[in-house]
Amino acid sequence: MSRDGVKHLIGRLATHQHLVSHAYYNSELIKDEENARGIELLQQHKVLIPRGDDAYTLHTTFRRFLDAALNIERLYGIGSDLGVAFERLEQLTNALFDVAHEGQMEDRERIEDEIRQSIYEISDNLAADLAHLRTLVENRFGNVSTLAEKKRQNAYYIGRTEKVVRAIELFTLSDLGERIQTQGAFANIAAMFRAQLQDRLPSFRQNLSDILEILKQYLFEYREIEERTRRVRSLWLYLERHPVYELQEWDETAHPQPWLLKASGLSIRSHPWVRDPEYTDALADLAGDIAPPTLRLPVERPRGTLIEEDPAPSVVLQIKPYQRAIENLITTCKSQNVRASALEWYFDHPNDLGGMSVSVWLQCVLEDLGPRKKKELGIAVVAEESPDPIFTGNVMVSDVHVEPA
Amino acid sequence: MFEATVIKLLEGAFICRTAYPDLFSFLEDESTRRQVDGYLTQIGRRLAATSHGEAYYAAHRAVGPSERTEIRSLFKEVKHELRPVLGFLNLIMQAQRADRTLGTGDVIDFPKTLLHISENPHLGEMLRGFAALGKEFASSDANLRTLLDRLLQQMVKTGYLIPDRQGDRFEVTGKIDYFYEVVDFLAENEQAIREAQDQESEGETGRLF
Repeated sequence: MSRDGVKHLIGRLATHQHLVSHAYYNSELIKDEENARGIELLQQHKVLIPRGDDAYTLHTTFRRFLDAALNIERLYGIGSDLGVAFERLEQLTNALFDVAHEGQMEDRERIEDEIRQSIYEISDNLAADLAHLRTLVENRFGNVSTLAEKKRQNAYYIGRTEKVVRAIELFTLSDLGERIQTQGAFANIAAMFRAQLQDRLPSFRQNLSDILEILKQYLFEYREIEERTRRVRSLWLYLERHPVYELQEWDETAHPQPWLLKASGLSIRSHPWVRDPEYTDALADLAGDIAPPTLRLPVERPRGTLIEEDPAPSVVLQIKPYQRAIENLITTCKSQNVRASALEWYFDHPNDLGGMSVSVWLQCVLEDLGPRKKKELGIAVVAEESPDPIFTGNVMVSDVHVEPA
Repeated sequence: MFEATVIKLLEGAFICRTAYPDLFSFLEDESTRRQVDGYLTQIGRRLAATSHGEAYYAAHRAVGPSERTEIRSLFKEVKHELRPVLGFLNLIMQAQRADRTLGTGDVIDFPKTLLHISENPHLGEMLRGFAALGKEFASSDANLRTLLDRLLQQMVKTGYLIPDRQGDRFEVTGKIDYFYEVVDFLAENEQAIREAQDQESEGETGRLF
């Protein structure tokens, strides 16, 4: 189970509540041996931010949360816009100038505190903006998948970055920095203003300008991708609608397009120069690694001898009674030159047929005296038949007559 | 690295971040490019890059009779690949529900793409339509998985994709940038295509108002 980050953070805040409270009401906290451990732990959670010389302040966002929770109203209100924040800083400095000349010590301290917070806020917001923009630029708006959304985000951040850069430029051009550094009324905040804002602004501006350039480059690329996508779609549709469309012969122009000049591949194979003595050792090593070829010795087989085999046993096929009866029938028919009835033969020679039924006898006569045999023997076979009354296509054979052809 | 790079270029490869990351990084340095170009010059070639610098390749310096034969052969190859690659790009765009065409380094997830195609009969029909473009896309098995696999394998064979070890994720190579260069040229110079596109754009503008 993952650790509950919220409970952990609230636990830390509760443990070091005196440090948080001190930082909130006194604007800053100075690190010493006693509170060092607590400050480090709160710093890990980004509750405290180091401001140099062992001084720590609450993170702007956390401070804002406490302001809102405790209903503390800040002078001139804080806008999320950097231009508004700069404007507010200028108003605060004007107010400080006035109260310093009027000698109102209590108000002066309060306004100085507000100015410090305002400077931290500007500095923190710029650093956060920069970090956020860097992430977006590095992953090319990877948090969204569609090109349209990437384009929208890109356009939004271009606009926003341009505004921030313009605000920094306007602030740099104003005389506020010079006034803070030179007028006695700002003596207490001059060093902090220089360290936290004035010295850092050129670097912020440069980084933001670089990012702006990259964002504009992305915008150009997104437009190119959009155009390319449109072309791929429409060319595909065109070729789908015109399946037999033939491209012009661009390969025959006098000056072919650069993409047509791509060289086709060469088949490259290198061979060692085995006669160069310089490579003898290396080649010997290589040769040593080659497995010896498998030798196959010819196997000589001894000449064979013929073995006398026993002759195959002969079987004398016995002629069946009905076959003998058919032979006798034909002999009679041919010798007497008469037409013989197989049915009559059956009834005249009942002992020759071994108890065979009439129908089987007639079938045997018909099958045995097939076309080939009839031709060989020179006889004609006529079946006495009548159509079957039920099974159409079948015939009933009542007798078979055999006669010389 | 120099030797490996030059050999790859001479073999006709497109050196890009996806296919040969080391060689591509090597060529990212301008002085290296000059060196490689100098070497290729001696054998009548030069180091060329695709329009968006996504891939490097070796190109001929001049056009003589032997180069003319190669140019014809290359153009034949381009014509042969044009319809299938355009179809493939459109199919993947629709399957991924993307509003942009594939670029170098984009990844195609085989199971996800197959799922989207299976869920949409129109995409299934598009995939089956590839069989009409050549026997290399056809299969006796009309199964969508087999057809998609055949299509992706053909794109690997022609050098537009590189599969991962498991073969279910494919990365787009820099050769696609070369293909877009061809598409740009055809869109701008093939009269019939240009006119059709102009009409299409006018139609779109008209609808906006």
